[in-house]
Amino acid sequence: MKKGIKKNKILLPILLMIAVGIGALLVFRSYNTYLDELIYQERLNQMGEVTNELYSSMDLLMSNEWGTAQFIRDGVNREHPETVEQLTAYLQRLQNIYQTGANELTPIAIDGSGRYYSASGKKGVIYNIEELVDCEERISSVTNIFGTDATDILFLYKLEEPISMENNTILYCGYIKDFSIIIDRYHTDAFSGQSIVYVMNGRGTKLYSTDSENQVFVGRNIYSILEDMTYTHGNSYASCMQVLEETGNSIANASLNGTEYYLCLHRMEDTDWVLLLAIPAQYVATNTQILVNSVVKTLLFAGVALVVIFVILLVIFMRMQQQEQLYRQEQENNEKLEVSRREAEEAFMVAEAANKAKSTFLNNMSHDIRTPMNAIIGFTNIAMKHSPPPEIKSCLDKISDSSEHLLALINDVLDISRIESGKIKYTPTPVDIAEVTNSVLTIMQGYLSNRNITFQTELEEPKMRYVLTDAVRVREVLVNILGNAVKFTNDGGTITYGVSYHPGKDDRHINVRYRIADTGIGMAEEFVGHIFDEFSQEDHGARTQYQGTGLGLAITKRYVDMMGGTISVESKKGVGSTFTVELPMEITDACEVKKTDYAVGKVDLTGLKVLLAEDNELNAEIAIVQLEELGMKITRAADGEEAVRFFAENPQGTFDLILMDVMMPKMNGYEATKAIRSLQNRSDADTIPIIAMTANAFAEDVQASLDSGMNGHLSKPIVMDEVIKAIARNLN
Amino acid sequence: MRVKRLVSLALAAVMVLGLAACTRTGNEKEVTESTNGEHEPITIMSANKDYTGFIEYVKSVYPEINIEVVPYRGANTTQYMYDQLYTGHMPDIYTTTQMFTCYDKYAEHLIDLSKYDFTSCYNEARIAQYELDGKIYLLPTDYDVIGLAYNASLFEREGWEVPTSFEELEAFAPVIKEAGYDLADCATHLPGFGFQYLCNIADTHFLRSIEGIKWQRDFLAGNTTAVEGLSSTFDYIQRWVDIGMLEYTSDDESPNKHFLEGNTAFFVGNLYAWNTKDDGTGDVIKPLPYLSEDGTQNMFISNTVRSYGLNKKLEEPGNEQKLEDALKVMELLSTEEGMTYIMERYETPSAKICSLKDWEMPETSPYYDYKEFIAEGHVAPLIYAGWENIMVDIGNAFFAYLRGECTAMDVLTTVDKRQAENLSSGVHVYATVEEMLEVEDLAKLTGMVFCEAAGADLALISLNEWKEGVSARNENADGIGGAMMPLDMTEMDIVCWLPTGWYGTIETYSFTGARIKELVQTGFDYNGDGNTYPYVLVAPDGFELDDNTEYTVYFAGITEEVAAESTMKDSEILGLAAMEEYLDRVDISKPADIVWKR
Repeated sequence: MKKGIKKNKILLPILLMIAVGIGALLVFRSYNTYLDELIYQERLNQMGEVTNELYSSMDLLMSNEWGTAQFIRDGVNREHPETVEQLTAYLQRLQNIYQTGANELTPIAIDGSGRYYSASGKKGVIYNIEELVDCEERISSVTNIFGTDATDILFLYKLEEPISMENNTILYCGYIKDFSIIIDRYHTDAFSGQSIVYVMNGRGTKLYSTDSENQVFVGRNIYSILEDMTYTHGNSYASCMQVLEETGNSIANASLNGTEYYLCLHRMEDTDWVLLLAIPAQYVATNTQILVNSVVKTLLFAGVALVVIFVILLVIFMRMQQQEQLYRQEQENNEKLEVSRREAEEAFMVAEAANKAKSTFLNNMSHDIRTPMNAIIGFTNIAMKHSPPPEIKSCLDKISDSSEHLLALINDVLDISRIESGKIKYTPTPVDIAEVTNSVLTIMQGYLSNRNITFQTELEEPKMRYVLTDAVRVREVLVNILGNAVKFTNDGGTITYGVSYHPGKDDRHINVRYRIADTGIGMAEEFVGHIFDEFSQEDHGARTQYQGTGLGLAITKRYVDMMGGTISVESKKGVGSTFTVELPMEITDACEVKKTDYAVGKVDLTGLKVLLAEDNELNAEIAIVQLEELGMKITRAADGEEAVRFFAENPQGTFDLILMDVMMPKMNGYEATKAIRSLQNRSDADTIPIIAMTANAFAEDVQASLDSGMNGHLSKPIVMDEVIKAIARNLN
Repeated sequence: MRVKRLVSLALAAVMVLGLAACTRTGNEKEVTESTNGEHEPITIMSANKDYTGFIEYVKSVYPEINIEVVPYRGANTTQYMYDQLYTGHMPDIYTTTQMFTCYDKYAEHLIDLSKYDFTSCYNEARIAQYELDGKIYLLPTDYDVIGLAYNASLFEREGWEVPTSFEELEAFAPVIKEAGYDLADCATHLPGFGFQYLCNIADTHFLRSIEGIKWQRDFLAGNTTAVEGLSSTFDYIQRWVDIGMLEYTSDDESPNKHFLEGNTAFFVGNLYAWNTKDDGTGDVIKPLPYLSEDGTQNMFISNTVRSYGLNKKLEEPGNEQKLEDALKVMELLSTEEGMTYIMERYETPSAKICSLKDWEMPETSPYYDYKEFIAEGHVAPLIYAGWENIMVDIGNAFFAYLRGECTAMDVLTTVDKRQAENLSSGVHVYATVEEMLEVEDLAKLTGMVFCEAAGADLALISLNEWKEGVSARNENADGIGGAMMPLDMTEMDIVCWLPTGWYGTIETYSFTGARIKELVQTGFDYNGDGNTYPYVLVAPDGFELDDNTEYTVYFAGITEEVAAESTMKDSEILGLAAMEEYLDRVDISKPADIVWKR
């Protein structure tokens, strides 16, 4: 429907413009026809003026020729020769009179047998004697008496009384003249000297032309050529000839071989000859034509301009209408949008609130679960260290396994929730990629400690070690996949962990490809497509055998996506699975990488004076037991306020380190830290390491700790190795 | 979107403005060609004219142009050409020997060539004779100058002066005879010759004067008589007869052959030889104009050998390519090189005169000595047009006069009588042909009529064909010459195709059925060169040939060898008379009318 409207919007102006164009064309054409007719009439008038003058002089010329012929005839009549000699002598006398320039001619006499007698004594028979038979008074014709070809014109008068001369009878007298002398006088300079004059007899046979070299009308008969021409302005050959017949003059406009001519025909007086003045149209009324052409061009230009202006106005008008419509539509849309926006805002607020509630819930959940978990795990660990009897140890082991599984479950659920809510962000920092890769091996050793699985590595040495990436996420991805490999590979199987480095999108990037292959149980082809879905785990039977949340690979995939990488899997049931992870990483300088980790076994914390701020009795007990086992001296504060007070009231050096819970009554850990850092009279207030040890385990919690002035953050349940590392880091 | 719209508008604007340009279009000439790209051949009739050289010349200039020769070899070529013009049944390039008086037929059947430039290549005096109301339908390519001939070597040997007037000839004739030579040989084997001698001599006397031309017009219009106009001319002709310049000689006596023996001073007629021996080692023969009484009006007679026009059908749609080709051929024809092929002829040196404007008579021409004489206008056109229907009767009457069988007045009376008949009822029509009778139809008609007249059982009639490599002059002249066009069939028309021509009789032979079958199979080897022409076996309907039976057969075309196998029996019945008698009896207007039942 919209497409149709769009189409109409294009078609309408085009159709309108075509309509206007055709209308303009019709107007232009009719105007052009009118102008054409006007020019034609102007040309006819001009030609009439010029040709009338020309015709008059031509007629006068012919009249003179006939006058001369008559003079000769009368002279012969008066002379009345009785012998050929007498005739020849008289003709010679006449010849002497007419022997120069345009007057040059040859007087002759013709007898009843067609024999001619000339002044030079030359005799012969005229070839067109038949024409003399029809001669009543006088005749003019082309002759070739004096040569092979006919170039001369014969003007003859019939003697009123034939003259008997010896055995012959003289019937005609006149003269022969080279017509080229005459035809030159038919030339006119009018029409830029481009006119051509043809002289033809009454039947159209060409006698002479002023254009002997480049004749326009080639061929013998001019009428035949005129008959074949294309006439304009309502003329035709027949009408042209009819007018010539009736009036003696005719003008027509016709084309020959694509050239337009004006043809002026004139039947000459005193002869049956017809003159044709042919002028190429371009030379007739040239100035008028130029003027009209420029007017027509101007009009045409104006017409086109008008059409264009009209079209532009039309387009503008249509656009305005369209814009108005659009404005109205936009207003309606805005109103709808405003409603939608308000609704969305409300929905957003609801969602935000829900999200907030969810976050709060998650935080609370995390905190509240981790706190007892800390106790369970902590006390289990403590109990384990007191060499319990085998039955008890077995129970403690199960408690420990279950606790860890529960913790893993909680972590995964919390992770996926946090990923979904966008709380987990990819934070690349400079790292030694080989170190990150290798760090996984330590974890794997833990995984494989009780398993009979062959672990093989194919670790390529990187050319560029230092890159920008989120080592925690990379490690999490690898550990997750490797953990699965261990989980789903039976004893006796093999796991291969490989890494290779490939060129990235440019010189500053590399692609790090991890390949983790196992000879485990593998997956069905149909499951492989769902492997990265949340809570996916092939057949439910596996769930009991291989514990897991079904979120591991979903989280892994999210992390890989987050880092701009790809993860793929090839798997065959009963054969094994191969995961390939390819992560793009930016190369960085070695100096930016911080060595952060400490070997747990090498740190001696004996005698370290620790202020422990912990409101929860159980957690405090667990912490004190485990820290004291490492030789540290613990002073416990029951809340933040007490911790601040202990620090402030005790002299400098009383405490080497503060472990600060966050969620405490009276004053939480953040406030307490800020209070300590703000103590004015204590030079160590700024320097004493304060490490959060809290059930708040999220990144924002870590950040909040750091923001409050703490130096580190440990999440509960407490993992003593992490505690040791954190303490060591902060004590240098 | 915005750009698209602007483009649309621009296109529309261009379209609107473009309409103005589209409103004026020229007519484009459409030229057709055959589907395979080959140009369709344009046709031309041979009629004793060999076009081999000309066709090769055209091919060398325009390889794409094809010319096909249509054969004709009858006894009345000029009449055949007339019939073609009259009916429009003509080849693409029409050829004729005469300017016929059926003037309305020119515009009807021929293209006006006066608008083409090649018409300006011709000598004005020549082409003007072909002008009809300003139009030119025919291009006169070459012409013969006809006159008397004399044995120049004999004159030189005897130290005789060549007479320049009839008075001188009259006085000189006894000297020749006293020297033991014959004064003249006169060809009289065709009735047309009688008419021509009369006219040619009359041209030097009265006929070519203004009064004579006026009389001729009046006579043909029935306004005056021969007795009135030609009596004094006949007095002059009688003087020619009296000295022995004109006498009747039967063809058997072969006046041409006799003159070439070298014992005769003059020859009257068409000789086509300028030496008494073929190899040029004999006596030299030279031309002499027809002599006027005092020599002031001596005249050669000009006779156009051929003139060429274009069939108007070429202007019909679909023939554009042919017309274009034909015009190119006409253009080549109007050049000096093209003309050399057209003027080709069997006598050496050629005595023909070219009609082109700038043509120079070669010094080898027998007429070279008369170059100025001819240029001065001492040439009268051959009298033919308007006299077609009575010239044979006049010729026969004239020969009767030469034989002493009648007086000059009898001849003139006969002329007047025939002209009166001609003007009142026209010539005798033997049949009104409505559908073209093709050569096969005429073969059947001829065979049937001649067999019935001579009592023969059947006839073998040979047909003519154009064969590449065979000169037109060697085409089969013994068979059916041409077709019969749809018009009133007169004696002149019958002779056009009748194998016996004017004077041939019906001759028969005896052959067995088996031999006849063989001859039908092998055909007629006219030139004895292996190029055979087909026989049409003509027999009554239902007739079956028996191998062993002896049949009486009429042959239109039989070789000497075959003739020698049998004895020829001359029925002494003129073929023309037999045909005329039959056609007077039986209506033949279409091929289906030709039925032989016995």
